[in-house]
Amino acid sequence: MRMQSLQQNIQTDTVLRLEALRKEFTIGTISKRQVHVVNGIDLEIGSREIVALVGESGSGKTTVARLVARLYKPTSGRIFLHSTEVPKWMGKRETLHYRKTVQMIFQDPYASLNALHPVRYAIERPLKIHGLVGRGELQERVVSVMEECGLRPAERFLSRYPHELSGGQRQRIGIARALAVRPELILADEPTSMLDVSIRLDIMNLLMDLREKENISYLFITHDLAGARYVSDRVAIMYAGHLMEVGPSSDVISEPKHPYTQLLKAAAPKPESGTEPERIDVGGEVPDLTALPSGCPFEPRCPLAKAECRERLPEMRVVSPNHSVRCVLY
Amino acid sequence: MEYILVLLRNKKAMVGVVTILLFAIIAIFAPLIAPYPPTYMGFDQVLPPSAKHLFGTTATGQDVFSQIVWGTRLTLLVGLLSGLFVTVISTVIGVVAGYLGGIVDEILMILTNVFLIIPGLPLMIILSTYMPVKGMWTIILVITVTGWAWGARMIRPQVMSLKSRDFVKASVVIGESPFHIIVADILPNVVGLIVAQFFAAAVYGVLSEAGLEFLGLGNASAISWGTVLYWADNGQAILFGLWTWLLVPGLLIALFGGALAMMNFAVDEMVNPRLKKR
Amino acid sequence: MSDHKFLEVRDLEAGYQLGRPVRAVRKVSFDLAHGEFLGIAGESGCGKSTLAFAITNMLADPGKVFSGEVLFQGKDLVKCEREELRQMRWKEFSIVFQASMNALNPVMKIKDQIYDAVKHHSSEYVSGFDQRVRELFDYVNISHAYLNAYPHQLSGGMKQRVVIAAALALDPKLVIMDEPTTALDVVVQRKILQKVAELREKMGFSVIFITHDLSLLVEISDYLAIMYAGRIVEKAPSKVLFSRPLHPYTEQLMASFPPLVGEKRRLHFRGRSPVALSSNAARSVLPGSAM
Repeated sequence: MRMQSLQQNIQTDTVLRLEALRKEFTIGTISKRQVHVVNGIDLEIGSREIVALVGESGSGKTTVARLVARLYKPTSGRIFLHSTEVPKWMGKRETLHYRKTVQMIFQDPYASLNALHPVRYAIERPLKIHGLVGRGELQERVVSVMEECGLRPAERFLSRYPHELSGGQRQRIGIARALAVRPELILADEPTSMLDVSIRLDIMNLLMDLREKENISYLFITHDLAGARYVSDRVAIMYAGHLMEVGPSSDVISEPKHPYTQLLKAAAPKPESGTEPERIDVGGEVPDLTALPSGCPFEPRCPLAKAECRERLPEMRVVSPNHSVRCVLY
Repeated sequence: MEYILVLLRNKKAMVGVVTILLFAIIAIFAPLIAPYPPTYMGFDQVLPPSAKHLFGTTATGQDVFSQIVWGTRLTLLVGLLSGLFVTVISTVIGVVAGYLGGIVDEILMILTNVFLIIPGLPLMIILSTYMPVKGMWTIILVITVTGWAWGARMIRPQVMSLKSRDFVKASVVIGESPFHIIVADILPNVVGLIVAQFFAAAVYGVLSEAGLEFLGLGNASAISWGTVLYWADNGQAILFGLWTWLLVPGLLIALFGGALAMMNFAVDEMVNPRLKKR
Repeated sequence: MSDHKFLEVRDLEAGYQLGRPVRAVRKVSFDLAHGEFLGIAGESGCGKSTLAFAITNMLADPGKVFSGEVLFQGKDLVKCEREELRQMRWKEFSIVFQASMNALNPVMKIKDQIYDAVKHHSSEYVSGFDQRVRELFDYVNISHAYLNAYPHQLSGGMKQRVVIAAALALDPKLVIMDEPTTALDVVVQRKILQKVAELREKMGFSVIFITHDLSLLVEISDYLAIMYAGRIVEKAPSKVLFSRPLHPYTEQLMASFPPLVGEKRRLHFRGRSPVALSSNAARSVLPGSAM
């Protein structure tokens, strides 16, 4: 399937397409409840495109990444990789092929590495599993991937254990691990949230550089709107398992159309603005995912809510090229 | 390995290690330490402790001290072997159930719960009674069959919690096979628990062996601390005032069990603070 | 400003006695006037949490204050006796810690926990407590229905607001907050900070706000101090610090926030981040050319 690429206005391949993706979890032992975490997501990611999925905790964004990473099975909906539907059950060979194409970077740089293995183990394994190196080439390859991720000189890091590295260095190992198989799509689950401020930029720059060099697409999960704007071509705003607004990041963030996006922007720190901090006057708490209303989930907190918002969920409507909003106002 | 150094610094571990080593030395060098063959019945019967017979003699004229020394072998062997087998089985079942989950987990848990509910000693007695051959391996078998369930139940939740950790998820995402994940990611993180389990199982093994022998369900002609106890009871040691014949094996069993328990606590201590420090 | 400074920290040296002393706070000095909002920003390992504990003399073994003074309304907190401190805590100054919401006792009602805190430090409000606690809940916009609730029934943001309300129970003159909103979403964070600003206007207390999230501080604080490897490297009114940073570290730190508005361009951060001060990491963190 082809789609408009924003970078060069030429037709490019779609790497990933999510169609009506849903995920429900069942919790409770005696009285069971359904938690509706992902409620019908339609999203596309093109070749060499970085799409940021932005939302607060409980929005379902991490679950979307895990669904694409096949750590969970979708309750319903379809996932397409290069126009081929990804079947629910895959044999060993197909699974391995999928895992060579779609990789993941985790949020916690310490928890995502096994503390009992030296860090080179994390990068050796994917190379070995997918048979990507010949005899005697292993160390060379590991070193080369590590240096690509900014760990220089790589030799000094090879035998170190995770606890001997800083948070930023560990995250670079995590990126190297994902990069080793030369994937086409990397799911980055809040890769900078647990890093120091001064490191975040370096990591985001690294991911962008790798996109240029290795032609990788990213699904960049984050709660930080400013980071999303910096790193991504397109941004998708998620709330209570639904997509509320999707469009080019500069457009969506400079002129947010959906009231929730506007709220996120107003709440975000803007030290560069130089004026008095914006006040937000929003009440209400985050929605209860076990009892979602049938209308728009943001309605209880929306300053522009109308009666019809409570009745049914608005459709995603295109408001300008590549830019859609799910709100009755449009 | 650094673990050995940590072990040596722990007082409980030191006590445990020294005691076990001591008994191991006695067991290995039994022929050199024991003054007489343990089964030789030529001495005067029911003698009290003396220089010639440190712990006196039995009702059938055997030297108790020699019996104790030689008996160390069987007691240690049964205790440690049954501890080993129990640990292996409980680890395999606990890990498989915890990692695979689903129907496999449910079936294994039903099995585990059944074995947990059945009282151990009565089951052991019944099994031993019906076993055609009574000997060391029978005892080991019986101990293993009745003892694995508890360990499996301890290991399973640890494995389940590990499974939800990011580094295990990362291994899944890069394409590792479940087997490799279990061996390289899960097991190394439960090693402490398994080792502690081993010592707990060994205590269980030692005490069960003694118990079974004492009840006459073992091979009465074998020499172990348990059989010495059996014969002491049978030979009316209390009546004859032969306190060494009765007390010494019992005390030694308690000592050995205690040493193993010390090791168990020591390993537990070592495993937990490291988790907290992280 | 009165002659008697409200809070004066002079050459404070604090850290942990682990065989050899590890200095997490090195010769830190700053002043705080009545009603001022001081933000202290720094990355992990810079010593800011140790500083928070040191100022209030709450460092527990192996932590200790090696030297220096903390003159709170003229009295040196470092030299105070335990009993004196207890009387001052919660009444004169109070602290809201990182993830305090997790320190709430899960098996006690919220109301009872606040009562405990109040009773422990003062006999004021022991009678008339019910009215006071309702007042506090009003300050932070939590419905009175939650007075009899248990912590797990509240969301993260609500729990943190409860903790802040409890910290204000005895009308302290100084409130120290160590990463109070780190675990919370941006909208909740903004609401809580707005609330703190409102309450400060109303009640007139000073605030020391410690965080790694510099972008937040620039907007809400009067003064900003940047911490690096145990020292305060720069101190200035926040808007000044942001627009005209003098220290290279401050400069770089300010430059590493991707802007939400304005031009979109590539940013770079040069230089090394502070090494964590725990003895383990200090020995073995390797300086990569890019960290």
